[in-house]
Amino acid sequence: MTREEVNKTMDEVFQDVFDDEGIHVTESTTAKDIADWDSMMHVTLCVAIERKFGIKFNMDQVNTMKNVGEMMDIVLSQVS
Amino acid sequence: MDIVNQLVRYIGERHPMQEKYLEKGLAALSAEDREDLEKVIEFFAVKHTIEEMGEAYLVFVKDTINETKYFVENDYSRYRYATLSEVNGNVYQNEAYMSQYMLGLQLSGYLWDNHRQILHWFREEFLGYEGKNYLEIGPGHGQYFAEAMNRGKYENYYAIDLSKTSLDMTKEYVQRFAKGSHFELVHENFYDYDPKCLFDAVCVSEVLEHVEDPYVMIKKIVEITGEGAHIYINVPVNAPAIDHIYLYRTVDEVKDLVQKAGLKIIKEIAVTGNGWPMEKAIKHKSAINYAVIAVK
Repeated sequence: MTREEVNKTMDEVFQDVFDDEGIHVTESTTAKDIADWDSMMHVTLCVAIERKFGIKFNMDQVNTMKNVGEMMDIVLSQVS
Repeated sequence: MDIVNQLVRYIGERHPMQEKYLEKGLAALSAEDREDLEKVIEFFAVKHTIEEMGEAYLVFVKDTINETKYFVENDYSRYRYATLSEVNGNVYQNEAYMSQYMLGLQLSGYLWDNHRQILHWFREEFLGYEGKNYLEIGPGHGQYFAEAMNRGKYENYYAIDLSKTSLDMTKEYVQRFAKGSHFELVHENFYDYDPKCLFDAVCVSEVLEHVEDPYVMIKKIVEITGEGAHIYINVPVNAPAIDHIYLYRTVDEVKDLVQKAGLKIIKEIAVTGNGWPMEKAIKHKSAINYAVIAVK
């Protein structure tokens, strides 16, 4: 899976979780860019990403990831 | 930089999601709330550094996020633990952990909008009644107990808790922040409690999610209160935490439980955990704080 493909799929996950088809994420997107992205929705988002890509975040990653780029790094490190 | 900003900065630098949330929380604080928060932090600063306070808050937050992940992974159907024995040793009887947990929880009381709104409602709506004996079950860090002693119109104030750490914290907090009044702290399981008086008011705030059978606890409250007594009950719905063992899925579940025990609800408030409109919080099974004042 390429980084571009992960980004495209990530877009779909974000749109689904936040119920907003207008959302388009980039590597630098952070919680400050999406109003509803709070701690609770962050967990919902992480679980949705885990299910979509068949990967697993550890709790340290859940608590410290700063932007979508870091999420993509973790996804890419686990998908073949 | 003042002590509040120092603490929030410490937390934000270590937890990106909290940075956003706390910035919003601080901006919403009234001047009075900000002053109260400063006093509480200064009180803790006698024993703890800013770093220790920040770490205590982060332990509280990270454990809550960990339990939330479990809750979401299991399609919002259950909390990780369901019995007191599963959490008692690791939380209530673990002094080091409990001290951190209570400190973090107390800071959230000012920094989280939902906790702050509920505290204001408790002050304004519950502490206007009068009577002789007031009881709080599970005072936690002591903030609500001190509020009652400062603003309530009762002669005697009692608090009972299973955790010695919690009672020690309550004692210190009350001695620092509460005015005069007689108070007694009881270290006992509430189910074994045999008080020498009937109570005119009972506060049970964020406790009924920590018990295996909340109906049994409410019935016991009914037994130890006089006719016309006022009872304040505050329960989080869909709110995982390291020691939450009873899951309330809806506000109506709580309401039914209170009414089934023979109490009449006269006032209520529901606040969403993240400031969302209620319908949206229900749809996403997001946390809701629900509080009632009921009369026997």
